Amino acid sequence: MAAHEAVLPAEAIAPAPAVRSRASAFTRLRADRKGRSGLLALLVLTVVLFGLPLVLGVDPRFQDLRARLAPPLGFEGSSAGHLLGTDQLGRDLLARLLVGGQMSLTIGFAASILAAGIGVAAGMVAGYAGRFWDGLITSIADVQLTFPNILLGLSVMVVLGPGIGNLILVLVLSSWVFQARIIRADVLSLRHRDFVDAGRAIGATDTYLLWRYILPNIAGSVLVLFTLTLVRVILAEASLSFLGLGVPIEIPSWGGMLAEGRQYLASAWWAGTFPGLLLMLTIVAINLVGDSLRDILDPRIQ
Amino acid sequence: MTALSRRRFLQLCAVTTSGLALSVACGQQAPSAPAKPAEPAKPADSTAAKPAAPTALPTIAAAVAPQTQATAAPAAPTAAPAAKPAAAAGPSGQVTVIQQLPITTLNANMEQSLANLNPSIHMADPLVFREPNGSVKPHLATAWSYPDEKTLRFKVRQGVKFHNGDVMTTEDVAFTYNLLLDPKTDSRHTPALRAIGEVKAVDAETVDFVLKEPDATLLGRLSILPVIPKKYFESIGGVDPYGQKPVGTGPFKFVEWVKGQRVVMEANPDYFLGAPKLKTIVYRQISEDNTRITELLTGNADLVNNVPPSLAPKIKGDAKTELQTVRGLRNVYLKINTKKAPFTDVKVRQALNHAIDVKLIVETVLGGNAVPTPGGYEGPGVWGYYKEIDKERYPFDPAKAKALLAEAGVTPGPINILSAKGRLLNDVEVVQAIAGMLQNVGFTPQVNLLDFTVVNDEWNRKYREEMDLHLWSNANNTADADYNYSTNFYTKNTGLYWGNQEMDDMIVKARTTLDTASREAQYQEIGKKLLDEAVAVPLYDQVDSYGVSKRLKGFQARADELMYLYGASVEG
Repeated sequence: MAAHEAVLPAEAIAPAPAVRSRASAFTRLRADRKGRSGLLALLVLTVVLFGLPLVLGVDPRFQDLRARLAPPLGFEGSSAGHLLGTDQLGRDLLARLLVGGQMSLTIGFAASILAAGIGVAAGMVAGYAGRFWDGLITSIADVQLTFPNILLGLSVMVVLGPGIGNLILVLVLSSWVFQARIIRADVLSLRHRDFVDAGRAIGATDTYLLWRYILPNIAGSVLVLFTLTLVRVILAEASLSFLGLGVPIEIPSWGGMLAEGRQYLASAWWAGTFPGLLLMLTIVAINLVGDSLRDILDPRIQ
Repeated sequence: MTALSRRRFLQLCAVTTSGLALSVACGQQAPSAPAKPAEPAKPADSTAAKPAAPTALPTIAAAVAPQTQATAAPAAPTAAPAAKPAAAAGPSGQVTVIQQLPITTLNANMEQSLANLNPSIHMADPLVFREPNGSVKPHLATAWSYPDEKTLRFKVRQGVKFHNGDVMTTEDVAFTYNLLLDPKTDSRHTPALRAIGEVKAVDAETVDFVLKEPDATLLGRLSILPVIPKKYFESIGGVDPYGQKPVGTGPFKFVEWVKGQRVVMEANPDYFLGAPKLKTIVYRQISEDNTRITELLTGNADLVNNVPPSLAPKIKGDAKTELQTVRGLRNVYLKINTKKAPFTDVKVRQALNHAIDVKLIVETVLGGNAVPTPGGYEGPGVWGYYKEIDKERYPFDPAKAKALLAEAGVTPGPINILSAKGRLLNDVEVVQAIAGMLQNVGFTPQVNLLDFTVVNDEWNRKYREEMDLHLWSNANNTADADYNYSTNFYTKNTGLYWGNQEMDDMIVKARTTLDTASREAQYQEIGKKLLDEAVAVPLYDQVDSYGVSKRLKGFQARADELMYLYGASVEG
């Protein structure tokens, strides 16, 4: 009850930029040309990746060895029913691209959300609590930053073996640090601002201060960082799958398809080109959204 | 903290630019420099050589040029006569070999990998040498005989010198093989030599192998085990240092081994069979197929092995390279873990055999670069192979496979398949194709891919034992049926999952039979029994493809994957 009573005066003191509503950010994102095209591309991609397989009904694992490496429709020697051709085992390339994309996006979002959760929590604790917790979390982060990410990923995957759960774990492990460090710096600059001190003075608990005073003020950073992490994670997933240590080989993934298609680049360009193109498209779309978000949410740019 | 003045900056720029220009100029000169007598024969270069090299060469070329031009020859051959005498006098030219697998030691006696044997056999000689057709001929030994069933006696060649000048003696021979018998040496060849009790130097010309039991396969095995110098081996400090810096009697001498980059060896002019024609051999390793083949096509390599079918047309289509193919001795099969249910049941194993369409895999995934061997685990290139190897004992028949599974009361479930990646021709695709076929009869296969060195590693044994199926191959290094059987089907060895006392006895009995006809008959029984029991799924013999530069002459691809270059030379 005491906390509830504290809300009114605190919000009265809190500076205006902190309570920018989510709806307004979204509206402005749509108004921005970059943001709009990025969002649209992502939307179309998601609908196609998750919707089209239901319409097509082609099993991405079905092999027709006699129709292996058939080119896309319209090219000489193409095989009926394979719009984008087949891969080196005669599996439908389109069906595999779609399932591979589902995998990339699902793993990307899952790992990014987890990494953001852990990173933001750790960063807030480190920045706000200071002393022991700051020292501990910063040291862990520093030690981890000394490992090249791909090496860390490779070693963990070699020990744990390929698998989606393990892959997400590796991606989270290598991503939370960046978030934690940036969030920590943001929190450090906020924690002795007048409105926080005021909140403290009227008796708000630390948890309450973090939740209602600090978090809304770093929401912009969190959102932008999330898009950056998403890009990093999707690329890292593709790299690990490319190296054969990501998604198990039975499950299609863009990285894995790139690796398999690379061998045939000279004779069957489609096997490696399409996954590469889709991966690029996805990354560009997310980057556009992220870039636009940063412009909108960073008060210094306005 | 001092700022860079404009004048100083311009000076620096001038120095850098002139330095760069100089190094580029030198770089262009290098190929036509007189230090390399083999190069001038290249017709394209010789015309360019005249203006490019302002050093000694043009004066010679200029002196020769008027004469040749007078005899109505075009400008091209001018440089060639100047260098020809040098080429004819001794070893010349350099050959670069790029292998798919890495070299781990230069002592072939320690490891079975051909990537090690290939360089090693050029630097050190075995007692007997195996010809490409499989027959064994005298080498460091001039003759051999069996004074009794349990003694193999060699007459050792006299006056052969090691590269360090020491004369090879019977002591060295005895030392080499006794070292291999010592379990402390920890050689991968030791189990295969179990028949030998000890090796004795009887006198300066004679060495006796005293046997615990007769062994008909011994000569073949000795053909891949080179003799090493006792004195040098002891002075350098044993197995590991020797493997880094070997000394032998071979046609080439060790020069250097830059780890992870190259092994270099140079002609031994005093070789007992006569100096080789090549001056230098460089071994490199590139596991990535595209990169390895590109090195050949760009002229950075003269010989590459394991060309995948997808890249073969590139080599065939290039005017400077050719493709050599040969049906290899390496047989590929799918091991079945018979220690695990339900594969303890022969019906389930037969069902697996019926489920896999080997012909289709060979035609499509392997592009015809293999020969199906439905009836056995080694092809006709191996002595003692099962004669019904081409007969389809378990033809492709998914319906029958399902029926057999039902008969055995087995509901197909998850099945773990293990394979090395990048070891066999298109192995990743082959194992996935197999998985697809097993899926068609109701299994839910999971493919596990590991690096070859990891799969083969001993610490991974437990992991292997958890697997159900394992894509495996056997390169028959001795071209004798025993090699495969006693490596892979003998329970005391590390090879196959399946095995029993009866089969062990049959294998030992065949090996210890010296009568050729009787031994061959025994291998027919063994071959039939292995097939009856469906201990594995026989797949195919690989057709090995080598990419060879046309300037390399005298190289002949061998079925046993050895790339022997003693008789080879380079032109142009």
